[in-house]
Amino acid sequence: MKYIGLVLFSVCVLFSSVQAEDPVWRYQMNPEEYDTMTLESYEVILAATLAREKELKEQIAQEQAQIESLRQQLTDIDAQIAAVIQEKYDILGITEQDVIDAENEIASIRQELELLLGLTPEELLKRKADIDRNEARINALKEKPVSYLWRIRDQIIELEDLLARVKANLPDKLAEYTVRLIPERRDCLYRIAEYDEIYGDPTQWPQIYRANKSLIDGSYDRYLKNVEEPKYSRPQDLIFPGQVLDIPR
Amino acid sequence: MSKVFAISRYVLVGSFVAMCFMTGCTKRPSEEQLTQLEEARAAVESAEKKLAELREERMNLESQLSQKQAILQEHEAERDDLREKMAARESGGTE
Repeated sequence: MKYIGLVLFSVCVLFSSVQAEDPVWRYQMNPEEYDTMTLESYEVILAATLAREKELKEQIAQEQAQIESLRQQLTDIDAQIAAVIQEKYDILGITEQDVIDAENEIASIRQELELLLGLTPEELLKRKADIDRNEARINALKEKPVSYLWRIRDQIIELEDLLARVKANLPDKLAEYTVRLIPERRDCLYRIAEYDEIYGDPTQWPQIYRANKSLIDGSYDRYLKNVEEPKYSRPQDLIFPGQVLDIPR
Repeated sequence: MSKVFAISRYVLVGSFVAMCFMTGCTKRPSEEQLTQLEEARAAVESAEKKLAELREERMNLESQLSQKQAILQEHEAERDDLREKMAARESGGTE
């Protein structure tokens, strides 16, 4: 009995000493992992971790080498692109400044045409000179060697489309008419309305009279004051060469 | 009967002693060793993150290179086209 007691006492002493040697928990590992980790499993895990670290370092080195190679290739291809661009300029006998000037000219023409595109047909008719001027600018651009460049050529095509749209907005009829001196066939409101570029219909002459009543009536009043026996009894029967008549649409 | 008690006593003692040795010999990693493991794990995590960043950078560079190769091909095609046009223009002028 005393032997059993002695053995039990020894066991208790041993267990208590083992418990005292456990380190304090301060690692960010899974507590369960810590609790179950033996020295043997620790050595296995450490070996695997170190092997993984070594493998990753090798892969990092490979990636860095590839990145360096790619950067060099990018530098080389930039140089090739610059060289080919210069070749194109040499073929055409132009410089980079010529290209810049052409693009600035294109931008300026585009801006003006877009402005014209926003006008009413009547307003556009009054700006016919601007339309013609920009058309001339486009034609001048097309004559230059720089227009052979694909980039410039495509932009010129866009400008021509824009110009066509602007011209399509022009009225096919006049917005103003200047009375002419035609001895054989005197201009009158009836004949003016008959002209194709006005109404093509002589019965529309009252529209012209109403739109220019103050002008026509004023002229008629002065006529009456200066003539003793007036030949014309109504203002709309008398218009004078040089008078500019508004043609309403 | 006394023999039975004696045998069972020895068996009991022997078991307790054996238990004592078994539990007392299970070794755990020391504090320094756990620190080493933790540092190794942190190094792996850092390396994995760096590797992912490098892979992304490589993919971006490959994409840029591909785009520039296409740009270069277009410039070369235009250059060849201009050469033909200028040659045709000159031959048309000399004729």
